[in-house]
Amino acid sequence: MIRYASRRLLAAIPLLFVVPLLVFALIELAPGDPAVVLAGDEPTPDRVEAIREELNLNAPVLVRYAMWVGDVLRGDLGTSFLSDQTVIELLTRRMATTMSLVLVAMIFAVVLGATLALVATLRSGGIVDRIVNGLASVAIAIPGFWFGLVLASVFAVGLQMFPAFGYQPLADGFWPWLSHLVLPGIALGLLPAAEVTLQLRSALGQVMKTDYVLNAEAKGLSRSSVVFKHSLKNACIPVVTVLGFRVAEVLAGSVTIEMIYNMPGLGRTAIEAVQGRDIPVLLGFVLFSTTVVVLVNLIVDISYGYFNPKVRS
Amino acid sequence: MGVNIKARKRVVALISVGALAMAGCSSSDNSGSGSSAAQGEIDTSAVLKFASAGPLRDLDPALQTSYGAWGYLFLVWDRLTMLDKDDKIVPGLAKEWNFVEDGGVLELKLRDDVKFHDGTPFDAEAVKVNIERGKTLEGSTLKSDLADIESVEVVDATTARLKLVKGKGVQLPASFTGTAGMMVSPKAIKDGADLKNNPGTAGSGPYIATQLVPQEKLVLKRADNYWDPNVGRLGGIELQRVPDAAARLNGLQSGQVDLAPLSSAGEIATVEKIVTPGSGLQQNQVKFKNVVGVYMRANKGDVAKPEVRQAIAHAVDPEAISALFSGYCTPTRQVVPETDPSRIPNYTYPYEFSVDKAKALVQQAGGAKVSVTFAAGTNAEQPANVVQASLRAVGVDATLNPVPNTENEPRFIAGDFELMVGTSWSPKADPAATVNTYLLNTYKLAADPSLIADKAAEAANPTLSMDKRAPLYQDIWKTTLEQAWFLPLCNQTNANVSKANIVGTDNIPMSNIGIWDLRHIAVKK
Repeated sequence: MIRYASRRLLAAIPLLFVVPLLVFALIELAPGDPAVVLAGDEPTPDRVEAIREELNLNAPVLVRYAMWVGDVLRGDLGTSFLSDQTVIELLTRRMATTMSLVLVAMIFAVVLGATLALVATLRSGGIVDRIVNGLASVAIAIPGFWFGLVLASVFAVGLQMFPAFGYQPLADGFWPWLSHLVLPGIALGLLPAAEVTLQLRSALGQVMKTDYVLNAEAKGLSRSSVVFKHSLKNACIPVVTVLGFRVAEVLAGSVTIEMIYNMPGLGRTAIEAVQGRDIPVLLGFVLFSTTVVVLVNLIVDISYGYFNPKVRS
Repeated sequence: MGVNIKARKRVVALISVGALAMAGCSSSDNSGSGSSAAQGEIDTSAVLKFASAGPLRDLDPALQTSYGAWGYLFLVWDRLTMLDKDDKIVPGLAKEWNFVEDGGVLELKLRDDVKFHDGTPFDAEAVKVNIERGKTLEGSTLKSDLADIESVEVVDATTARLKLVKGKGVQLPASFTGTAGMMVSPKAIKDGADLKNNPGTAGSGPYIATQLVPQEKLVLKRADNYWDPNVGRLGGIELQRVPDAAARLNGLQSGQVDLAPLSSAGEIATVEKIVTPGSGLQQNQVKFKNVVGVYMRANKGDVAKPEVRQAIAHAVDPEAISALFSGYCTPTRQVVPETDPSRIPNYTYPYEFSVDKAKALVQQAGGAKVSVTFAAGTNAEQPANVVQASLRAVGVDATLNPVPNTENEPRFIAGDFELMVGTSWSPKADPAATVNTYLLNTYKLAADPSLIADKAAEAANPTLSMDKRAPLYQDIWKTTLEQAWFLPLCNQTNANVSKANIVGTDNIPMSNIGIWDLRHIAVKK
């Protein structure tokens, strides 16, 4: 198992450098000049050139990439063009927001999705099963940003149960932290919740038709016992896979949710970096996102190996 | 002032707001009042929560790259002069100013009762230190503002004499209403204080910065013993950057925000619906000085042909643009507002809307091809589409060129585009600065500067009264419009929306150019 995990990890490392290189190239190919943007509302040619020199923007792209890689290997991701903050400082602070948001969204997705799937399975073929399937199918089609706006209108503006926007660190208290995450977390977690529901319900349905489950039922075990004790672990394999992929999608989806709820997270950081041509921050964000996706995929692969030993070979 | 997070099961509200969210509609009455008239006992411990889209990078006045950041700085740094809500230049740290010695010197008489919050007295030496810093600091964005000052002489503690480049500097009293006039404690400068991120007590403004999170928020507390007793009446202010207008509106409605500016037509229309009697909100609408218009690079591509520029000027109907903004963009055919002394009286724009005349001019030019640049996702987007359609209707091969919001202005200034639809023509407090910014320098719209340069130089004579300068600028505006270097279309409307207990929302200087000087804002108990 350790050899398998190590092999997967080593295979993922090149991605951490290839993806930023692609981003470097895309920034280079995109129209516009970061120095012109950074020079402000009324830039003078002298100021633009001074910024270009200061930020080493006149150097060839491969030279700048090599310098960036060298700095990264020394643990330095550079300093934001738009403020005095180091990229590490900026990303670390904003990562807490996004990680909190993703955590709440995924907990919501797993709890709601698993609950609905289990309820549907226990009421297999009945009206509850059909309603759960129908709702999950509809939820998949609902855009997260629209759902986020509706939640804000109803529960923040209308009922004033939760804040309309912003973020409070956990250090400010559990409820202030959670209250700022409930609405965006639900908006972000709706899609994965629907997918967990459908995947788990489907997987449980298949497992329930296998011989060993039929045998257990024939022995007179209760349906809940069959589902929870004998079926759930095997049915988890596709769900874990889906969840792994969803983490990456939820991270991507956090961009719009963070904008709607004005949360100072990584998504908003990425948008501001793109708009402000803040190359160090953008590259830092890409490196971080790539790392997260690689790690999540690795965890998915490893858990897949845990659930199904045949995969390790 | 904070968020009410008590769970209240108001089913009716849930249903109605839910329906509102789905249908995108709401009630239509409008209380529409300002607030100064509604005086009451002021809560001097209140902390105002303000939300705006303005960029917030750092607090050093000499390093600001965006006008949008000025609002944060006004509260921390006092200025030599200030603008009032009617755009009149009024005393700040300078009580009086006069051009003397045939306009070669600008003499400032300074207040003698001001100290920086670190205890350093404000005096003429502080003016000298700050102007020299602005002129020499690496990366200073004040260099062009202060370029007309050759040197600063300290006559005594309350008198500073600015020696000017010959025949220049007439706009300086107006420039000092912005970052160029902001004063920093000489001691803090000498000590190398972190003015960008943690200026502490380096200012003499009505509030002191206690926390800055770049691009997110600025927290201020009141500075005790401020020299103007009518200012600084809040316990503190939390200025939060909320780029999304819908989030700002939600914040106002949920009670999370006390005051927020809103600007686009859609936002104003929504404001009209939600600010109703009993809503707990009030609004104060302000007509923007900024002009929505078409910038033309009259020496680039087909726009270099006078017939093409004239055709474009004939082809676009300001009423059609105004309609796009639900009427919240008042058609205009001038480049400065009614309050500007250089406004042309009884003016008839030479290129009235006429499809036939535009078609004839395009044919006369042998056809034309232009790219209509605009900032994607901004208030310029819809007008740009109408401009493109209007040009196509008269035979111009017009294509749309959307660019990121951060890039359209600098790239137009750099000469990348021949035509741009923008919302940023912002007449300055002095017409000399408007000419300098848009026509002769920065934007360089005057493709043939000789047509206006002599008059601009004559009008910049500091010894002339505004009565004598105004006709010269009126001639410059007429030339600008005749040459179709810029095609003015309309002035948008801004609304400052606030809770009903906020006082002073009808006295927010510079909100007519999208900036906000919150020094007069207070909260009633």
